[in-house]
Amino acid sequence: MSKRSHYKYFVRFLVKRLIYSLIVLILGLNLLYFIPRLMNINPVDVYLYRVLGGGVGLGAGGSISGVTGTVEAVRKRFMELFGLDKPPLQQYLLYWKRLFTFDFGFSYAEYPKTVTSIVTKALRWTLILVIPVLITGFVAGTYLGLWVALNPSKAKNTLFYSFIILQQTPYYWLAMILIYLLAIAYPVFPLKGAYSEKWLGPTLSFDFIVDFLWHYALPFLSLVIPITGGYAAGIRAAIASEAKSNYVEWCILLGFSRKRISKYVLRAAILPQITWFPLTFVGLLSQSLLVEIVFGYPGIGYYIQLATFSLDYPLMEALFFIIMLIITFGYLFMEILYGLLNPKLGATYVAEEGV
Amino acid sequence: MYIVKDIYLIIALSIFISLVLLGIIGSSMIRNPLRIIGGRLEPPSSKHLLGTDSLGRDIFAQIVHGIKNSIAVGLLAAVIGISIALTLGLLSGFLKATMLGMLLNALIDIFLLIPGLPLLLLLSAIIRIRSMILVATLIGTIFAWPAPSRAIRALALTLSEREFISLAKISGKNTFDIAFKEITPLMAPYVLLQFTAMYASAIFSEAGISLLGLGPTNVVTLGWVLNQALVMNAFVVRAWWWFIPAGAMLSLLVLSLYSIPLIVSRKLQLLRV
Repeated sequence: MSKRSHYKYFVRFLVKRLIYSLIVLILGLNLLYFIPRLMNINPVDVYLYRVLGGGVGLGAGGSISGVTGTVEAVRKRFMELFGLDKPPLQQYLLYWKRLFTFDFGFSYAEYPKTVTSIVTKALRWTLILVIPVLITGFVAGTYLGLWVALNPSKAKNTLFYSFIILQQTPYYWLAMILIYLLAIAYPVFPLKGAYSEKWLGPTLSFDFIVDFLWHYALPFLSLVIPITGGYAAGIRAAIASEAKSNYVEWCILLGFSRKRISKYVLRAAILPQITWFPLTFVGLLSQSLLVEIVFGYPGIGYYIQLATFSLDYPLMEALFFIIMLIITFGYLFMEILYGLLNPKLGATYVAEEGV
Repeated sequence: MYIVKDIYLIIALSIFISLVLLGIIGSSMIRNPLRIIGGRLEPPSSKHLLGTDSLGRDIFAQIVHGIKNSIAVGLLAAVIGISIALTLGLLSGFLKATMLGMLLNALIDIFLLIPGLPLLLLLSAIIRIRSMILVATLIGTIFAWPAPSRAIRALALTLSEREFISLAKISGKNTFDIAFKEITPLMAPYVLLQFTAMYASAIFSEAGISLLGLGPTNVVTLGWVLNQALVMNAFVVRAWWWFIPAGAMLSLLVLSLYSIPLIVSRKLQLLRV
């Protein structure tokens, strides 16, 4: 197939993917809007109820009864602020405006911080955790798997099986064990947070960076160990199946050096590894949310728990919105990457389209 | 029968079955796992096999009930999930040239992209009182089925090319009849393996949301035990007996269950699960 027709299929594929991603995004965002409101609870009332304690009653259907005076005024003010006194259609449009301008107003749980400030900080922390884990895991895992696959021995096989076991273990449990072992029993690392409480905020000083890395070590380890195991297992499986193919046998018969053959095998085996990337990315993100919660690490996961438990609707909306964006576009990006790297692109998509 | 002779398969199956038995028998013998029965945070002893938590409840009882409930939730979720996956995968593969087939195709691909865990969290957070059945249904209908569905569709595609299908079509059989009565028996072993994998991942997912306190509110599950350990700072007070056995049971459950399709598919040289 000529190179031009390769691109034609690739572009078609890309457009299809883009459309699907948009559909999913729109669907998800609509769900995000309707689900909380389906429950017929007025978020302002919930907030007031929480703040005012037993002073007001949360009647059936979640509307406040028995409010007077200043409370009523405050309630009115908040309703205006969140556009809850407007007709439904306008509220819906306001929602989309919020999404596009990324202005969700104030957070209930952390008033008077704005949602935007919380989310941008949280996102930064989460990405600082996830991206290095992904890169380290992939590189380390691939090398490890290569090492195990190319020089097989009994000891290495058992090591390999322990990788598979590690990968299936819930990451947050691993985190708990690590905390217990390395932060309590033998207090090497700190218990929670991204940095010690003595700092008002992240500063660009050597002390802070050291402190941060000290806090960072355990969450990083709890994620990177299973991920490495997973990638190692993946590439070993890929190599094992490549090694059975005809061209390898031919090369051995021809007397090629081990080194040369492994180079060819690696080139072919790396492709399924990269295909794995989208799946592991989403899995890692979900698992890292849970791990963040175990460590009290102030990333997206930590704030999701905070928001869902204090029914902080603006924060919830913003957080889920960000996650959906990341996951959807993460997938898309990975698919593009895969499409660009795959030399058999044209043939693959011909088969899938049923042409 | 030669499949069964694989030693790893036997190990995995026996681990899983013994866990199931432990759950069922144990929870029928211990009535209420939430009864305050001893002093707080007692380490394992002959009186309380796995010690007590910070409220004085027996951890062994919690774990035993937790195993049973986690297994039950996973089972329900997997049953729902595999039914959806089978139906949609089969139909979209078999009817690939028709409008319905292509529509289902698009549906599967779209659902694959939906971020499962965040949506599940959102739903669980909003619905404050969640029964075991509700949680299982949520897991099963939202994100357990898309990936296996795709694999089933691929299988259905290849199978529908076979000659006996064309024969069936010519002889005037109803399309649905062909799909469900001719193709399904051929896919059965593969679908069973997908079911097992789905089961393992459902247990895993339920534990994940329970960890956040967003799991079933009417029963004790393994994830719930871990959640309690987290919320009550089990590790700060060095109560290793609280969270280590729970997590270990969870891992064993998921691991043994998940290895079964892996081993069997490798043995039979089926398409990769």
